[in-house]
Amino acid sequence: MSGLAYLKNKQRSLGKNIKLRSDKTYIIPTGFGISFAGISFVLLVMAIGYGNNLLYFFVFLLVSIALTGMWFTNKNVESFKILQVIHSAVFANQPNYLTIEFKNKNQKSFLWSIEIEFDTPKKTQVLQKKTMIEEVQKQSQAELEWTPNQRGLIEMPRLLIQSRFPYQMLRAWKYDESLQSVIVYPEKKGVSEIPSDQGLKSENENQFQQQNQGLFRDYREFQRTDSPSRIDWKRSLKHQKHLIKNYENSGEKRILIDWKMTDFLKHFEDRVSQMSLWIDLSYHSKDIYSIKIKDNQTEYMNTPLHYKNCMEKLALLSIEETR
Amino acid sequence: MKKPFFQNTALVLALLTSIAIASTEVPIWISVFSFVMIAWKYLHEKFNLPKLSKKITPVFGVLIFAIVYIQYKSILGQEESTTLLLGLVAISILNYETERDTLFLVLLGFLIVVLKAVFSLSFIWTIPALFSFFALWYSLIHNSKINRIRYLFEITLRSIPALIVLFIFFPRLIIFQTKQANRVIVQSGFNEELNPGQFSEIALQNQTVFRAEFINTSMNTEELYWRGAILNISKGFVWHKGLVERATLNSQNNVEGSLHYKVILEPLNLKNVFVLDSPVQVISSSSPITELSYSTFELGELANQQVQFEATSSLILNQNKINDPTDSQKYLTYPNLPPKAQKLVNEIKSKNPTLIGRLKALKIFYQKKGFIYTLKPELYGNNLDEFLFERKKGFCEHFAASFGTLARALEIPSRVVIGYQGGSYNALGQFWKISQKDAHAWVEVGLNGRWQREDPTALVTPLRISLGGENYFALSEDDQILFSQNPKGLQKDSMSSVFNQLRSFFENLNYYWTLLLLNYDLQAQLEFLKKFQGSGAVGIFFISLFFVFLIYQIRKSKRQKNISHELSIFLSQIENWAESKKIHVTTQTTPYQVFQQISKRYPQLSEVMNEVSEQYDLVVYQEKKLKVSLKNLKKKWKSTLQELD
Repeated sequence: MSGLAYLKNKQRSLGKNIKLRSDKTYIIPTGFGISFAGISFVLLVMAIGYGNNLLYFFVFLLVSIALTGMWFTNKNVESFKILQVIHSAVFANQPNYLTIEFKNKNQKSFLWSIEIEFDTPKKTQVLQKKTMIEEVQKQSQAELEWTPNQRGLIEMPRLLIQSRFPYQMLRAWKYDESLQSVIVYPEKKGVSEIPSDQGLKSENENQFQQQNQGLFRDYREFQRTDSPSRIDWKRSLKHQKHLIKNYENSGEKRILIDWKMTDFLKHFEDRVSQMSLWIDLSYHSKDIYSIKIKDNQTEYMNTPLHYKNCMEKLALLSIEETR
Repeated sequence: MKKPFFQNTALVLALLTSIAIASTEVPIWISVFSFVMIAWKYLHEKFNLPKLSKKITPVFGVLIFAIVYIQYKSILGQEESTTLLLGLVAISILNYETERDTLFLVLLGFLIVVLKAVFSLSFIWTIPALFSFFALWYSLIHNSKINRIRYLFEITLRSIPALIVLFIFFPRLIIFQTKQANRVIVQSGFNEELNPGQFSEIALQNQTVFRAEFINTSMNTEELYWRGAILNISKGFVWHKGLVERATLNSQNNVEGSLHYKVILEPLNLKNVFVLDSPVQVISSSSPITELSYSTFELGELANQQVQFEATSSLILNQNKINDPTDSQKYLTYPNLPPKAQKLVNEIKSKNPTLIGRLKALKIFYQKKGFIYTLKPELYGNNLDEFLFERKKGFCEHFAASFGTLARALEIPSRVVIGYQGGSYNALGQFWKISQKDAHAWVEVGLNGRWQREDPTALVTPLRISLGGENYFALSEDDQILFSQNPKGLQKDSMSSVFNQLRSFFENLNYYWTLLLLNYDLQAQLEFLKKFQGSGAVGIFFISLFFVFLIYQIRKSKRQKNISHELSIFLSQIENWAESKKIHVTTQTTPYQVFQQISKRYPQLSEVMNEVSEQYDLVVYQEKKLKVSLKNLKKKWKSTLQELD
């Protein structure tokens, strides 16, 4: 093992026992900063050796600018304050965006080159892209792209706010723990076409749907979320495309998304993802839908809350609940 | 991510400047190599010239290393290491690809800029060095939106207190002394031998030899004869230095009519210490100075750094006594004179029985016989007759050498002094700058038991003496001849030009810069601290420092007890209570929503919730102080809960 690798290992093992506080700003030199310190030390030794005051002057100028830079680096991060971290629906295995609202506590000067990312992404199974905020005047917001690779309730890693500005010699950082956990919805994956639910619906439900179709309004082209039973074959033959009748209250088309519909898939997670996709399609096509897992069925609705509840149910679904 | 080198203009300018600065200290081949490599990089980036293979660049490195080692037989000296450093910079520029390389180049740039100080303390070098220095800092700031110059200026301004404190208080302890390598080339034209040649090279050099500042006295150019060494062995036209012994000077500091002055010698690898006539005290805190016979002085070692010393001379007292009457015999030895010279000596001797009369006659001979002062006489060999009676052309060396030998022939003890005469006065800084152009030779004759100065050049061309060498040689040859006997009008004209005033301004800056830097050794540091100690400033400084530390600690502890932190604990208590009452609180629920939900479910708590909400808003979002104490707020919350139960 090389000396450097040994030191890094040692540093990591020491670091395991240390939990840095989130209300503090920390600062350490970067590799460049350490090299700079080394060179400054060598030059200082030369200044002492030669008794050369001009050398002293330059070395002290180097050191004092670096020290002031250190103060600026620290202040840059210290003055950055996260006000709120907002997220919309979070899906596994797809890029999601955290909206971070922040402000500059120090109103007298701007903040520069602040990076935001998640701390220790490996541990928490989160892929991410760093967000660089070039300039902070007063209050603003930025987006952090991240991709969780599993559904469920995940403990969110701390947000790491850091900066090497201005001289890349030092890295100042602090943490934000305002976002502690997030329910990650299952990945939307599978076939887009929702299978016909005729066989799965109760007689009452079928009657309800037929009675509630209302007055005929127009024809529209068949969409993948529509039940094939709704195709008007005569009309379709005439126009050489699949057409279905649109009724006045066709927005209230009822779709049942049953766990059984995913029987064609082998893996549990694939089935969950398939249901997630159908829920999402149904929600966006403004149809009313219900999900059914074993004996548990939700109401037929199309509201954001219903969508949230359905997705959360899928997000937290365990294999036992489906047996 | 790959990035073209020439896109980083600040870095390019900084490195070009630092290489140019360092180039004056290293062999020409490495400077040429560096600039060729940079040019290659430029052509590669701008005109797609083929890139040099990365396999070739290590070969360059090895070659540079080998050449340096062969040339210097070492790699650790100043020139050697600077040469290697330049080579490394050139190769690094050639291999430049990413932002990471910028950081490496910046470090190398800092090294080159600072290392220049090992070679020269001159203020002139400091200007481009500082430019390069700040351009390097500038190139480190990566942000497209910031005004980098303004930002760097702000940082620099805030760095000044730290710089001052470090510079003043960092102890100038001499823990170990690094010896500066002697230059191969001796830069001064000052020789310890007088052998009048065909051409005076010394007088054509502009190099500054030393600067002198008189304390509470103003001097005229013609009074300034800076003695360097004594030559007392006459070979006719050629003079040599005799045996020089160590001597002890009767140090008298406050003699009547004494002149006090300080001198800064430039690093010209000379041992000579230049002082005015009749020195009574010569002191240097930085370099040991040895007192030699003939009231001359010498440094312990060759001056390869600037050396400052203070001296006192007594022109009135005239300390230059002939110590031993038998000693005067050695100042009368001279070789056989050529026929015409011997005839002249005989004539003067016969007409003037006294030594004073003979000296006067000799001076008249130099004054009246049509001698011409020129830096380009033809070669004489050791032929006095040809110079004295035929061509009559020469410069100070010819006049002093011949005058000294003739004086000895006239039984007047004499010796030749070599050093500098005059200098150019900087009215702004009130100091004299003595350059190689002021190099001079004159004679000292022993009369009435004392040595007195006689300058034959002053008899031939008073203009040279009243103007000083630098100003005299700045005149055209016609003017030199035309005004040789009437220098007054010329002196004003030459000094009033804008160019001279500008030059004077920069020389002044350079002088005080050097003085400030040189002066501040351990002794000066202790004296400075003593002054402050006397005024109680040191005490005040440390007490202030203690209070700053105390305030910092109090603020730190206060920050730890941050009110917002306490409020957040209080909030989590409220949230826990809400959850216990089955009020749904998730991580996405904002505090305001929690307060609202509680108020909705328990209207009795709405008043206290409103108050908590208001205070929370004040502290967390507006960063203001609480309007009510947190303690009271907590009390109110608890009492309302009790009422609810």
